[in-house]
Amino acid sequence: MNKLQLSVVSASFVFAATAFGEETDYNFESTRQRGRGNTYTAATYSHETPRWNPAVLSEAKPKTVEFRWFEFDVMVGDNSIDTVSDIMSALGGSSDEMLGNVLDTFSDKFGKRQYLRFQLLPIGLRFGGFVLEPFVTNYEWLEMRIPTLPIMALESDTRAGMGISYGFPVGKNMKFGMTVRPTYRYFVSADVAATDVIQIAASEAGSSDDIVSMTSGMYVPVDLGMIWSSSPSFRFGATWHNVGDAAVTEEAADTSPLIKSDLSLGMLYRKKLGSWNLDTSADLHDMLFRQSTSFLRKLHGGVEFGRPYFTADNDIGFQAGVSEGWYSLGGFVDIWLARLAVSNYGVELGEEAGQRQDRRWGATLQSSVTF
Amino acid sequence: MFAAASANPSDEEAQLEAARVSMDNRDYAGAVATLEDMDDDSNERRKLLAAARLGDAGLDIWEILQDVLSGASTDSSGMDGFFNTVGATAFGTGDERTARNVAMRTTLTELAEAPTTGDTSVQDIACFVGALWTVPLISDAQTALTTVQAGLASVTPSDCSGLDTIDASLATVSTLSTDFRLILNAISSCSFIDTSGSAASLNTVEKQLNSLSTNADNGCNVPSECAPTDLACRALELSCVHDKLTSGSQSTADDGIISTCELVQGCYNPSACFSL
Repeated sequence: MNKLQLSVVSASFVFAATAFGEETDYNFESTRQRGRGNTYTAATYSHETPRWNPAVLSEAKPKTVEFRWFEFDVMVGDNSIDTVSDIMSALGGSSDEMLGNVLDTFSDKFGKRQYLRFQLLPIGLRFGGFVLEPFVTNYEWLEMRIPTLPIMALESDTRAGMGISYGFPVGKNMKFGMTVRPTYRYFVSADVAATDVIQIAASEAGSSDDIVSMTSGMYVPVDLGMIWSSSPSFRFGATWHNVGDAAVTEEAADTSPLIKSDLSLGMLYRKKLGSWNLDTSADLHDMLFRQSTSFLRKLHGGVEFGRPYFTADNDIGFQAGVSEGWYSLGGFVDIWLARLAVSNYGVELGEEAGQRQDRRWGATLQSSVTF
Repeated sequence: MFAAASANPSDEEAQLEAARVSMDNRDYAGAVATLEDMDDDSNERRKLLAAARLGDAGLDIWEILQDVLSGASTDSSGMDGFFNTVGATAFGTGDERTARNVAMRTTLTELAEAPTTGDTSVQDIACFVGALWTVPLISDAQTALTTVQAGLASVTPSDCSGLDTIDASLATVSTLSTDFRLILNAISSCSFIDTSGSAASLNTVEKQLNSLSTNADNGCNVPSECAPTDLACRALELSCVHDKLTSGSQSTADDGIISTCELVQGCYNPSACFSL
């Protein structure tokens, strides 16, 4: 017979991913903002908020220098944790037994995305309202769906570059900011049809190299931000990430997927309770419908209850929120030289809010000194 | 500035996703209900409906694949290895087998009528389902043809009495003839099932389909050599039997369609008919 031509999975398939809902694409993830329902648009100043709304840089103490020498973020799905545990349990015995055990393990994995993300920001410098921040981010996921005619998809997205942000006030109540983020991106994806899955699974020597698409290229995403505050307790924010779907350099334009733009609106209300702050925030993301999310998936809301000790930001806090129909919980603490945050949140993978959840853990360790 | 217009996901996309979620949770009846309720048809809906119908009939390809791999004792790998190893027992017996045959038949019919023609992904699924279905159908065909022959052997040549005894088994052969037509149509545009080539290069299913086409798609002709003592074979020469086998339908050699008459006469020796 003619061997199955795996090359039929052409580049046109690669970005379609019709059977796999797309989660909203953000340049960065934040453990802390995920804890409060993924609200960021009108957030107050903290180490990470300028990545989402550069206008907040105008609220940093002027004539100060902030030196960040380390930030590491990791986000991992509950499914991935379960799978690693299951595979470890399946190992052992003869090779045939192991194969059977591993396949048994994957019988329960249909519709469960295996997700892992990390972000490394090895150093960051802020001079007043100006920030320089090199970064490396990477996420990977693998998923199988529909046991009767199994299909499979995977993505691996690595981005490395430099964030250059500036925020400045205009008048008494308005603040503006802009980020330019030259980024080199390495994107790997595959969308494997049922017959290809069987071919690969039944082959002693897998042919997965033939069905994986790898592209790379230089991007220059630009983010714009605005904050308007009528009083110390209420603020309104707007951000436009990846303006124009992230300008792609000519060499990458033909082969690489766009980093889609995201126009978001949001508000934050702060109620002082003695030394503690109760922040209530709400966001509306993807207002330009570039990421094709349904209306309810655009809604995000959350609360953060915290207080400052060493910095102007909350140094300890507890969070709860709802994002895309799924609840989130989080907490963070600053122990002067290091700040640790942990959150547990849900990400929507389907078409509608609350349709198909991937539950994840996020953890962040960061360090900074301000002069 | 923006690459393309974009929009909210439609209700159709949400319903398709709901069906996928149901199938991920192995709620195939729920998936079938969701897909059948949809107003808009599409190739994606047809593909999902195929998966849902197979699952609803208890046919889980992933489980079959697991069984095949755990019991694999074949030198070939990939799709050849799969079809060389999968057996008719994977389709169950009795009512279970009947339900699965119905699911396969409905699936192939619906895929053949997908709204957008020339879709490779639809063709590949139809081809795979058709090839998979060949395994139990060949087994069923051998049983039905043997029963028809037993009935033919009891027909009295002078007055054709006893001919009614083959009605039930002939109806089964007629259904099989229609099913083989669906299968041959499904594998006609396929990247991984090719019935041409030497016997050594074909997997089990390809061999069986090659042999079926070679032996049966020859028009409605009485076997050239009937032993005088072979009463069933002699009965095929009777006009009353010929009329019953043809029932007004055409049988043309090499047209890619296996009629009831071609199946009965061309596969007069069932065990030889389906193997090279």
